[in-house]
Amino acid sequence: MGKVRRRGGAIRVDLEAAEIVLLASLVSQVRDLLVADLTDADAGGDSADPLAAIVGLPAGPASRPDDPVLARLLPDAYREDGEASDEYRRLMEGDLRAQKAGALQRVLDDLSGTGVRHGDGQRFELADEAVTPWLYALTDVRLALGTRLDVSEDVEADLAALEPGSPELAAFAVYDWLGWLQNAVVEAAS
Amino acid sequence: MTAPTIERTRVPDAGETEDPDRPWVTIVWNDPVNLMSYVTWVFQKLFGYSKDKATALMLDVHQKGKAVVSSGTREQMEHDVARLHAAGLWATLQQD
Repeated sequence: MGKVRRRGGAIRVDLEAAEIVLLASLVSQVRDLLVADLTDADAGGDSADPLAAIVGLPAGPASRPDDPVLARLLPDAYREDGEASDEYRRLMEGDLRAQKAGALQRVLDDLSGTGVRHGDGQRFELADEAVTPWLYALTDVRLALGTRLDVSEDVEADLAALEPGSPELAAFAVYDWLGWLQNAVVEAAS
Repeated sequence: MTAPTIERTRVPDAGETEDPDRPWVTIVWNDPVNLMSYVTWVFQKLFGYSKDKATALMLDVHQKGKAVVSSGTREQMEHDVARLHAAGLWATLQQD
């Protein structure tokens, strides 16, 4: 299993080869979800914002995504005011998607280009400016997986409730590992 | 790390008399996924709160289900909500 600690001014993350493949796969899936959905919406819909159309930007969506994962990644900004939430979303959701996709892409780039061989895996040195995109990306991957698995705060109880041999067992193990990794990076950054 | 900083008023203490101007507030809601350590880190990073204050707010979110994390104008709170959403926290704004 990987190892995380502060080393001088950087956070050193050692990951095994299989962990790198797994993490990159999850990160790229969430990035694709955020980006692909936007492209689809743009292709299918009428542009509600003429200025956005003129400058070639997709008009922002006007309501909460149906997919529960996207709805969690891109939540309503107003709890009891649907109209204000929709207006906020129309103005802000494009930026939010781009920010999230950017952080996820940053992690993918780091995973594919910055590691040096270490044992069975690779060693990554996260400078200060890498910590935020890494923590944001790990959060979004955990939110996506946690929403799909419908986790509660008590993951042990969730696990105990699964049938033996359930295909979700492996996903829970991944979710648990992501939580370990994120917590280790937070602790090293704090 | 970079984060835009804006002027903000302090978080009102419980029991404080009602402000006639009714400021807007940003609320963070509990969710089953985000780690306590991470939520504390986000509050420190985005708002410049001390470790103690960030931890107290995180515990409010965790135990009471929500916490007011900042207050100010509607525009400031929309900005704070945007930053919290970027960080993956479940945040909303409303008039106090």
